[in-house]
Amino acid sequence: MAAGPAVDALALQYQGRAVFIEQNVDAPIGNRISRFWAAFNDGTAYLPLVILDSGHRIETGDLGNFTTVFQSLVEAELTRPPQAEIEAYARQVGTRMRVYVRLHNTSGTTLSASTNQAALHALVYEDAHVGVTGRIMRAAPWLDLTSPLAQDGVTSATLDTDVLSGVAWNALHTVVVVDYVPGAGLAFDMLQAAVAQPAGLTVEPSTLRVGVDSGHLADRTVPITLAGPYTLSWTAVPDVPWLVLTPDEAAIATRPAVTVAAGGLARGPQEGHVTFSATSQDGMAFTQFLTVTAVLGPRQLRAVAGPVTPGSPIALPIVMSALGDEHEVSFSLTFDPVMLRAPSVAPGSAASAATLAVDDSEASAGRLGITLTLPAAQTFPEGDDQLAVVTFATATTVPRPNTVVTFSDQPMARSITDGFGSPLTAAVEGTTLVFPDASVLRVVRRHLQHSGR
Amino acid sequence: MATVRRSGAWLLAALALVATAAIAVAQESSPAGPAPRLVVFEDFTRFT
Repeated sequence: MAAGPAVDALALQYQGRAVFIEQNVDAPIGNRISRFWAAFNDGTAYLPLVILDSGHRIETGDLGNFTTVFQSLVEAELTRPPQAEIEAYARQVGTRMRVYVRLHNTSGTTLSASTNQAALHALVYEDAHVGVTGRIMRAAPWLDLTSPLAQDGVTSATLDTDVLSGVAWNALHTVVVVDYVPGAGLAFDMLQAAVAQPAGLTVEPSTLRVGVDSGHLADRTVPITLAGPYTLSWTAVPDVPWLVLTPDEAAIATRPAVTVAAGGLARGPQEGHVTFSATSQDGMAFTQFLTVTAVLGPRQLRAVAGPVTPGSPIALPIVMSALGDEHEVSFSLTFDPVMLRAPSVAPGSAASAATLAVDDSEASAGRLGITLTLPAAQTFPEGDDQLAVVTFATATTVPRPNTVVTFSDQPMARSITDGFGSPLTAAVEGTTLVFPDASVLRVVRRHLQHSGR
Repeated sequence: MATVRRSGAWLLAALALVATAAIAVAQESSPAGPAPRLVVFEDFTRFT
């Protein structure tokens, strides 16, 4: 296969993991071709010239089986950990592309144009068959990191392309690259790259459910993530008095927290909204909404007793009166190991999607730990949720008619958390199992009479 | 097979294309977690 079709096939194969961009060697755009010559370190090369990750790997000339060679290059690069984090957005401004970049240096090295030629590049390419592949570079503005960026430092930058004419704007993509010369040699290396997202404002989550336990009345606070071009500033306006944003205006990188004021809630569910408005000095304006459903009511975890048939297993459902924001539930049960033995645990009807973890290492001492964890971002539904069913073997004869199963913290501490890992309060209620009289071992008491003998 | 020779032309062309750029320093932490490496494959070919 020729180089062009091979590259096109690989672009499809590695979508999301690698980007493939072609340029005309006789009219190079930006200074990307300098990365080839820096790594090649010679005067004459055979076409095509190929660079991966700013020249960390290069190839030239007719390679025969292009697919195999290029694939091995990409695979080798994919194994390398990134050494920077990039958050990038792009938008059309007139006939130019404007690119907003936020760079976090995690390389362990200070990045500096003067000491290691560190630079940011915005590679703007179009899905168009101009050369031999289906993608062609249209612009590649770059910015030397003239201010040293220390390890763990963060910098932000805006890059504008020159005027772009004759392009299909809806077929343009932008990839931001940060590279530098890592050692004493000439070759560059790429620390990381990122696809620029369309400039906009995102609010995560966009819907939120917050339970307020009426048995432990307290305000609840949940973090909100805002994302968008680094130049944005935002304001937040709630439409109900029981929603409070802290802060209620800030730069985009500042995460607000939304607090549900418990004292302002009516019993049951109620809905409020927050309007986030974000603007920038260069003319961006976006609006997004957060919907908050707050539920005021009792949250309770309880064991439900059923009739006992001595010598037969007894199933003990564990039920949570949920407010709808519970994500993970942990607890322990304490029981009398003389009367109840060999506990086994099955997920309850409301926990079919949950991961069940059981610690029965102390079962012989009458203690059993259980944790139920839902997949990320999932919560148990509001109402009575059967979390688990614990089945015990029962003794045929027992020393007393009643035995209690209580909630405890050993071996698993009691804990209910929401999807953000915040602890939630709940009342707990154990249960009493009643054995039939016939199973109770009666000790015959002999009344000795003092005979004087 | 076609060859290409290194010259100073690429540097001059590149310098002419330096973008209008603004830079600012921010101190806030990133809201996003680290992403895996995105590989960038660039190839230079002759169009004629």
